[in-house]
Amino acid sequence: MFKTISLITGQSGKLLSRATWFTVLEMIANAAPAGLLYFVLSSVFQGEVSYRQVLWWSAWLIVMFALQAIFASCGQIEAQSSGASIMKDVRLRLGEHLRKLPMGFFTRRDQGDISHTLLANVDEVEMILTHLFNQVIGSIILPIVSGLFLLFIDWRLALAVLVSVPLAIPLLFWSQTLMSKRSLKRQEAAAAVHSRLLEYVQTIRLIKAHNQTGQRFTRLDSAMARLRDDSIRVEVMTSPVVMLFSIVLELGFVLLLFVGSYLLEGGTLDVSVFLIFLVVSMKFYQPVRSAGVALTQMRFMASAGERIRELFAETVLPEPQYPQRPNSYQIELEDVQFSYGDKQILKGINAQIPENSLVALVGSSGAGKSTIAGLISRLWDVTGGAIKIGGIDVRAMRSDDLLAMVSTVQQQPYLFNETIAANIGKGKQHATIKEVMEAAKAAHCHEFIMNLPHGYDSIAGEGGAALSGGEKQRISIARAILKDAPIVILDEATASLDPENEMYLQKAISQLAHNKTVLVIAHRLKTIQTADHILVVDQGRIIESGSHEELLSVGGLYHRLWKEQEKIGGWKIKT
Amino acid sequence: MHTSFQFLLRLAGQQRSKLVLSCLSSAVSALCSLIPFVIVYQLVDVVLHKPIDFIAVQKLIWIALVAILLRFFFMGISTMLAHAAAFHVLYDLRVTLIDKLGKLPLGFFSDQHSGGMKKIIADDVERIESFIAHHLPDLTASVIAPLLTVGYLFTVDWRLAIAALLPIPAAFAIQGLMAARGKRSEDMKRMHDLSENMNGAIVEFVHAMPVIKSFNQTVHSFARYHDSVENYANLWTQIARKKTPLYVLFLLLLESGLLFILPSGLWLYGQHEIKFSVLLLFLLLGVGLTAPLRQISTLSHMMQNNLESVRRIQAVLDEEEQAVLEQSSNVIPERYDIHFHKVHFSYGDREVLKGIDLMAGHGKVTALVGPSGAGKSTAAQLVVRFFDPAHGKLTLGGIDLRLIAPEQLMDLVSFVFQDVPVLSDTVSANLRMGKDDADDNELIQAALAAQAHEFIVALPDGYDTLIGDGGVSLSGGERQRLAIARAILKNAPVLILDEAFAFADAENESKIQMALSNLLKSKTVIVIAHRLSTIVDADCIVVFDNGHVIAQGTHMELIQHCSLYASMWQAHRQAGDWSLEGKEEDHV
Repeated sequence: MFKTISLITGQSGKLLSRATWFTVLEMIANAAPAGLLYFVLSSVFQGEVSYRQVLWWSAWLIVMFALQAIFASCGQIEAQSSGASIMKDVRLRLGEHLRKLPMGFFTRRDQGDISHTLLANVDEVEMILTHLFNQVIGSIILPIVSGLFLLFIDWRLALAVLVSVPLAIPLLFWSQTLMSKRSLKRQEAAAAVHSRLLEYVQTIRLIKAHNQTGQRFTRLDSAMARLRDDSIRVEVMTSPVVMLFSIVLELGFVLLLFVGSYLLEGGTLDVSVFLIFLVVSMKFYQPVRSAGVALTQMRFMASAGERIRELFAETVLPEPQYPQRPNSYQIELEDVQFSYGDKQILKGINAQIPENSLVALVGSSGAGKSTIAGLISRLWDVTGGAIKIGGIDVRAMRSDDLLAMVSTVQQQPYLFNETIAANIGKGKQHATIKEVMEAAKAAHCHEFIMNLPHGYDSIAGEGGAALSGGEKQRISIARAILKDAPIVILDEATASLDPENEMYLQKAISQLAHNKTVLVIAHRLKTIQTADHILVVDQGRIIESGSHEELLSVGGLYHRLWKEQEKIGGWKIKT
Repeated sequence: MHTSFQFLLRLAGQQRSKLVLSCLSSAVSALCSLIPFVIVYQLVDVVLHKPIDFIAVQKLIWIALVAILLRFFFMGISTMLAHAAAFHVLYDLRVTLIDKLGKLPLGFFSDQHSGGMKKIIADDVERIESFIAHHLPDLTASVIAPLLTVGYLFTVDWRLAIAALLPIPAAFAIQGLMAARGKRSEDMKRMHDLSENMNGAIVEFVHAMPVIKSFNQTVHSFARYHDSVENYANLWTQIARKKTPLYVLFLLLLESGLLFILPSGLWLYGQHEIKFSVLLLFLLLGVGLTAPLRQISTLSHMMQNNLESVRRIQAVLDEEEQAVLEQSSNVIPERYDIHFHKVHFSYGDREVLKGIDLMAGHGKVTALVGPSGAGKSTAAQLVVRFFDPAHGKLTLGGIDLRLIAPEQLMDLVSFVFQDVPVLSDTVSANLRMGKDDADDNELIQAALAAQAHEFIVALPDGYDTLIGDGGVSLSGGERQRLAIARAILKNAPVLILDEAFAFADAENESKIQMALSNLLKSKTVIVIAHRLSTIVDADCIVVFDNGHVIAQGTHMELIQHCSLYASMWQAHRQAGDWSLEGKEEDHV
């Protein structure tokens, strides 16, 4: 558990140790009055007490109290602020790490799960670091100090008091094993609820349309019921053991009474010593018990740390040791193979996309077209063969360099929940508003943007329900125009839109493709019939290639698709 | 704060019997925890009285043993009952919340981050657990134990009992000072705002990963994520520095009984006013007397924190639900013609429908066309009451939509969206959304009719394949065909197709069209299609422009009489011929 924590916190682990030292000092100041009490009680037993002594003792108490207050404040401030900075650090590093993971990771893992780790799990680890950790340290120090003190006064009675601790500790560990087993399950249940909730909120239109809101959405309901039952189970399984731990621990007090009275009977124990033991031992078990509770909570939360560690353990796309940069931008695919899980998607693709040419990928859905596009920008790595740009393997480039030279326009553009200006501005660091507007004009979206109530300052993205699909698409093209990368990949960017939008979109794309190496994935064959070269993909292989005319004359799949599309033109909705 | 607290109590009331038992057990446990102290007190008198009465000593020891056993037995009972109650309350509250979300107009969701909503239902609700499972029983113990102790101590010696209570005014003087230095609830609110902001940023960060990667936005330039994380951490540190010293002083003062008891106790003992055993009793019990108040104070601190969560939950529960005019009426339309009467609608301050009048005839196909942003999709969404109009009304078979129970309306209308989401579940579960009790045969029939069967059986586990997040991802065309199969299963008399042809590739498109032809038979259909050639034969074509209906009629009528339609038709024909020409020109 501690290993996990130090792994997560990395360098910042040192910050915390100051807080820990303050806690140790605080606990010593806290235990000191008990020592004072010993002297007070022995003096009282020995006879009269002078007023001077009383004053003197009171002064001591006040000093100890002041010290305790100072140490405690320093400790808490230290712990809270270092905790906050550690968590900030973890979130930023984790964000950075996520960015370096291959895209395949995000398709494999539930997105609700990932954000849960970034949010809740990081918070939980912070709780361990800022509160529980110091509490545990304190609760260990205090009994040790008072235990040593008791041994010093009378070892026989001290043993009676202390013997219950080693007897109780195995019970504590047992309860922790039980708990960590159970809370792992509970964590899973909680993560499931998070994912299902996110799904519920994000697909609420669909769910409403099919009358499955509330409990009728059984996947969410049963996930929540499971969380409830698992949570209750954690408590019901572990609290009896925790209570047993407390009982065994406090039986030490009963033992002290037995041993004490036995020794008194034998006359080998002074009554005053016995009384002091009674006083001190009453305060001995409380901190041990709270150490137990805090440790349990720590375990509980450490499984959150485990999930963070898992994310950090995901392997990032490897970066080359000596990165190379291409001088030209022709793209070569050499026997490219790719498997997703145990499904082989690409089975040896060989192709060339010369610099400044326009090459189209066509074929039925699931043939692997989009995968090819993704491999070029290294959203994943090939599992066999190689992809080269300007003769250099993409894996030999810095991934930042590679991403900088490729613009991808996707079927469903993602807009950030920010202003339209900020969304377009993502294309280029420190873009001026003038550049943003230029790009917007080139992408034919300036006009509709100006018609929005707040123009370029209107919010797009999740809250931007008022933008149509075509409008969003053109904004994403403006972003790509601003980026001005030498390679452009259009992944079904022209999925059918209304005629007006489509016309604008086509003009926008023409602007973007100007003087670039372009790879188009299109289903409307008409739009790519003038491409320099057309590759027909089927079941992970290129089965035909050539110009439009050449392919038509071959009479293969392309020919069939072309015929099929001509037929669609004549299809009408009325039966 | 007051109402939030009442809300919490009302929630807790749902599990009253468990909680009352839990609090009782907690009180008994608190009582038992005092007994060992009294034992010590009596023991002192016994052992100081020579010769020592060892039989009395033994008796006291046995009582101590029983007290300890009972104390933890009841504590365990209390903990288990309280937790069981708490988790039931959380579950019920979550059910209430998701039910509520289902009753809100969809406009609500576009204003909210999904992440923020999730936080409320998952995290804010979770925080209530500590109130019910810990605070309630702990509060009982923290109140009962000191009261019993004080009562007992007063019977032993009232002067020392007063000394033992002195820490309380001292501590509360400090708390007054704290209150003077700024309201805690304000900081708490800022904290929550920043935390929600961070939630939204993180959820977006994860979802936008493809764009972030391709536009090379490092974590640092991804300003929103970075800033929100940083702001949150900074506020934490700031609050810690501001609040900690006084807060710590307050907590320590609450436990400072020794400071008052030791001097006064010794003085009284010196004056022979009290016995030694009394001095000892106060040193033991009096010193710890005010410590439970610390618990009350931490409780109120944590409660402050949680009340903000409660307020957020209440805010969601207080959202205005979609109106059902006369809830009990539950009228069922007999015909399925749809009328818009002077319908106005705005997204925020952008008015998108400006007085729409239109009629979609029973069993007829009505097409909505017009430039993007003209209001077609919005109009279609009003039919399913994703939103309600700001003014005017819609009727189905002559009945105001708001008079029809929402569930009833959803049964009558099928909707195929432009952008079809799928649930992260099996293919068959996704299909069964259309009809809960459909058997496998029906599923296959519907999938066949929607031209989806073929690709489904090609998936690794056929109909049992997991799709969506964490499963196999389907292409746009495949998702669309699933949606159509779902609509076929549902077989509702009204059908709305909003861009049901988007994302189709050549082969898919002809299949989708075949699928649709199966679906359309004898239904009232409203269709939005960008490819005008698709809808030329619709019974009625309605032309939208800038939130108005400017013309309606058949294709031939509109070509002649509506210039906008004529020009759109022209543009459509041109677009068909387009082929990335700008690029080609450049090449020649």
